[in-house]
Amino acid sequence: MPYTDRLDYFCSMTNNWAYALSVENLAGLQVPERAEYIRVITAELTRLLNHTCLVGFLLQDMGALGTPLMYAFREREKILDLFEALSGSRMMCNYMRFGGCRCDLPAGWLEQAKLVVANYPRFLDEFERLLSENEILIARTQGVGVLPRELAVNASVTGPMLRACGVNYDIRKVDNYGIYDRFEFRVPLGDHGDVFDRYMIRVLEMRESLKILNKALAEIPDGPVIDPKAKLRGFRPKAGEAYGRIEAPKGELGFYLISDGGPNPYRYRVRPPSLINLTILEDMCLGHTVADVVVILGSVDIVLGEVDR
Amino acid sequence: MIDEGLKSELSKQGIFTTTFNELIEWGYNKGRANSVWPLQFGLACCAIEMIAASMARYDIARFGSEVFRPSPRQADLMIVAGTVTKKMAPQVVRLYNQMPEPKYVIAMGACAISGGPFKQGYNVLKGIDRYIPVDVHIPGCPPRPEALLHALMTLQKKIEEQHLTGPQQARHLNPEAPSEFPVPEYGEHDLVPPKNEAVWQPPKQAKDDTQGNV
Amino acid sequence: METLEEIKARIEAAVSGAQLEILANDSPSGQRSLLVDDNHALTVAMFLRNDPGLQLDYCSNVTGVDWPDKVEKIKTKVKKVVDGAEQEVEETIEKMTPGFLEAVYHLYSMSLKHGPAILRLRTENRTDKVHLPSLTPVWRGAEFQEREIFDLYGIVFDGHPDLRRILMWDGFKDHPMRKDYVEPDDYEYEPTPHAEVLEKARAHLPQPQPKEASA
Repeated sequence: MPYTDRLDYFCSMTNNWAYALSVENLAGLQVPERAEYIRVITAELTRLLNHTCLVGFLLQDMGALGTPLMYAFREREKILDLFEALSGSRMMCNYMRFGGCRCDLPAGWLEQAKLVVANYPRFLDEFERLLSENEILIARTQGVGVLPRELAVNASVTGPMLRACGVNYDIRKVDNYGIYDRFEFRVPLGDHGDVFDRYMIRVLEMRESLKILNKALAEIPDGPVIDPKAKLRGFRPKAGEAYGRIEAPKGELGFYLISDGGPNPYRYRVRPPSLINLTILEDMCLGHTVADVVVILGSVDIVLGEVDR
Repeated sequence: MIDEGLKSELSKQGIFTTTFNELIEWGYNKGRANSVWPLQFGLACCAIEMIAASMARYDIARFGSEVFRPSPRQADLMIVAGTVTKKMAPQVVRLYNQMPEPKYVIAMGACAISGGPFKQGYNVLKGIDRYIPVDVHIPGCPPRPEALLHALMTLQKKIEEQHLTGPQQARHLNPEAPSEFPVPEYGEHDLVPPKNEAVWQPPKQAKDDTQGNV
Repeated sequence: METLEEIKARIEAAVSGAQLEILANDSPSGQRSLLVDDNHALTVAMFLRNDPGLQLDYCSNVTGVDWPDKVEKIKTKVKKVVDGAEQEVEETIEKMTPGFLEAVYHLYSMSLKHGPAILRLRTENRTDKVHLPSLTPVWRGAEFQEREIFDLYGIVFDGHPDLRRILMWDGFKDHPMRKDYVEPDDYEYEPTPHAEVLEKARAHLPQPQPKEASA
């Protein structure tokens, strides 16, 4: 589990979840209700964190040195404080376990989280007022790096990249893993598949995440946070294989596991969204200037921990 | 000439004495220590914490190091932040060679020090200090931004204690001390050479106490 | 989605001569897979993608698996005449199962939102006959992942547009994810609970003093 934190170091919580989900598929563990809610809350907070930082970095790549990134990191620190209170570590949370979560929420955490979530729309409004109608941003992004719909599907592009091309595919809706079927949220879709659409999709997704968070934080029930059948030590799933996937902020994150009945997996493969989304970088960059390549690369949202493994 | 005893006695009375050399040294070191320009260069997770350290909450600018330079030729300090893969290691050494003297290296995080959690991996260099001399190591995975600030303060202290002349002359002023280090090449199975013997020796173990740990 | 048996029957009807086999999966996930022979893999993949009932247009995950040569010791009881009397004697026969490399494709459908269907391709052995047809012409998304398999496992994908190493450098000779990969020996001493690592590190100690066995 600690290794999954370091794949995509912005989103350790969703990485944890994907791995836990695959092992639960493999071993047939049940996750208690409270743990499912905690998972949804932490995953959506991670999504906020990732998209915020991404927008900051995208603008940094465009030449807006400092300011948007500084705003983004200000909000990131607030979410990291929550994660630190929960797991003891800022970035490498290592929080989830097979069949649940490591420990219950500390006292006062929910109130703190509600405060962060309540203040987030204000930040988003401010951020959008600064950026979304900014002339330079529009000039640099609209019509740049257009990705046709068919190519996107064929090249296994996932996540916000895919939805910016107008393909309605969100694993939270398709697989209904966890308890996502209890939440009402929309899947924002783009029309053009250019960099601006990818930027807008992320901003809109953050707003949908806030909806999920508000509902989850209000409804979270009491109860245990880990399946009593799950053994933390000496865990040996039956021989077999399983593939589990979730909608990580960057796209589909999957774990393919083959167990030979021993304590260590026989084969452990991560399906990283960043690496596979990079496949079509060449196609998107053709016909643009070199300065645009940086912007397009920024909009793909890669994390080198996943790409160069 | 004033000896050390008289000097400390005078300083108790509120009279500070110094030599011209010491004054020059103090000014030279102070100036360098408080404007360490790092190379903007990140490899993995620690780089994000490095960015976080330069952002509003931790504000590395208080220490005069907010000017992240995109070119090695303008930088004084190389923060090796993150996992150094074997494929990346030659580039890191090359960047170090391109930096002008005086130059310093901070190895940030467990991966840069020793390979960290990926030490047993086939593709990870087991510590950047195998190829270049490191001034400050920061443990942690990843280290908090505070830890980076602490490392910066340690480095500043180190710079301030350097001497212009004498036996403890700073490395960059000694024309015989090496300033560039050989860049490893890609071999068929591993980097060639796997380590720079002149820079790094495996830790000496007085006796084989590995038995007890198994 | 249709069951795997129905899919198999339909592929057999559509692609003549395709040899398919359903591989069981005992784990609670119950994701079974379809083993396809090399010669028809490309046609089968095309069929799976274009068939209106399936439309598996999204190749999510491609990965390699290494199954090394297995030596099984089978103990049999044989009746033999020893010293005039009939006795049962145990005999051990070593049976060797040759290993193979495997490429696993996880397919989903974005338009019909179902899946996964799992395809498997197997090489004949692990040394010289390691060629498989590339499915990159069918699913572009397999491009980088097949390169990764080529790099880490050494499966050569015929028909791949750009088959180079992706993670390691070009001059690198080994395939690090194979089970018999030997790492370069550059360990140093560290206090660690992993006996394996200590064993490797011990060779680098300056003066390994032999310890008495009495400890």
